[in-house]
Amino acid sequence: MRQEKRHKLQLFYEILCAIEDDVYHNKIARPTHIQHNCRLSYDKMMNHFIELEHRYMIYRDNSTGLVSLTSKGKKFVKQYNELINLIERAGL
Amino acid sequence: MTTQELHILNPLTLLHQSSASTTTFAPHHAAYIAVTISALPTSLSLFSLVVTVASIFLCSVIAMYFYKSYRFSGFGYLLGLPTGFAILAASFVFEHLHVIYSYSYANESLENVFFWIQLALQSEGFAFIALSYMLKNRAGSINSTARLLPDTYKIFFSPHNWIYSSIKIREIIVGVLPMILISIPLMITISALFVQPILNDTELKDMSLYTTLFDIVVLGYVLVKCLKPLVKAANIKLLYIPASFALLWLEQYSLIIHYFDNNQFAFIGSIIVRLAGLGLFVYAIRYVISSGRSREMEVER
Repeated sequence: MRQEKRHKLQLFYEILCAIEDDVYHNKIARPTHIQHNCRLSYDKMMNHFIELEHRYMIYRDNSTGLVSLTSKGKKFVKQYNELINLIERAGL
Repeated sequence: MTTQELHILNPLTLLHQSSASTTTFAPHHAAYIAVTISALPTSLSLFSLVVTVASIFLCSVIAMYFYKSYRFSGFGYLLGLPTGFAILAASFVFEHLHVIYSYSYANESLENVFFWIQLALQSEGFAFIALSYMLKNRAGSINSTARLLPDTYKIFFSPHNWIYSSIKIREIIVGVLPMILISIPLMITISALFVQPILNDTELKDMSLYTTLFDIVVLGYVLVKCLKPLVKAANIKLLYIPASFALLWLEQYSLIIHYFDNNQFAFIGSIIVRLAGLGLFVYAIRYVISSGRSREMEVER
């Protein structure tokens, strides 16, 4: 089944949520897990990682490749949740 | 020209004691009356200013939050809501200017122009809000629209299909509907200029009736569209936003009552109901955001 095109911020949100989820369950977030959860190709996901890192939303350990959320990334997830909740409450 | 004719568009005149008493004067005293009421009473000016500032502030808050939601989610159809509320805020500025100039005998034409702009902007604002609700179900069906294209092509190029494609024609009408919705307020207001380029009070008052009727229909549509998914969720706390739309609908209804019997209480009621509606909307936004935060704090604990 063809998947609908996702907005960039929606992709960021899904990646950040996947990281949060992986850290919650496995204590660490592996790129392959995130790739699987977000249904992205490895190249595209790495591009998004670079952008998220530039925006200080994630932190990547260059030696192990493990990823973690920064406080800015957590704030983004929270804000995204609030605004999506608002859209739902407005019946939109 | 009598004082009543002078201020046919401004119900606030009736609220002021001195102005109200002057309306009983005979027509030949018009010049004297015009001099006495040429200055806007400070209390009314202040009241109008407070109402305008409050309305603009509330509209700006709503527009800001929904613009943020649009930026975050990326759904284009959401842009109608902040645009609508921003236009609505602009209409309140012209409403205030109309009230200010309605007391100035020398600038009667300006008063009419401001009232005309206010009516046009208000209806346009509501139309943009309705546009978001109209396009909401179409945003997810990009694939189905893509599938529709070859069929639409067939409608235009195969005469055989014209007869049997009532469903497809309906789809085309549905596709054109948002454009019609946005253009109606402009058509109503601009057509008034075609009938008579120099606007007079009676003509403007009739135009206000048409635009108010349009607003009632549009807000009714928004209310139903907003209510449907929330009723299914069966949570009373979700109904704040539909309730605020209902209050805005009530504002327009009060204005209709005011049009027919010139009832000053209906006009005052419309102002109160409008402020209550916008206030409830902002409260609903704050409630949604703060409830999200408190839920998060509970999870952290």
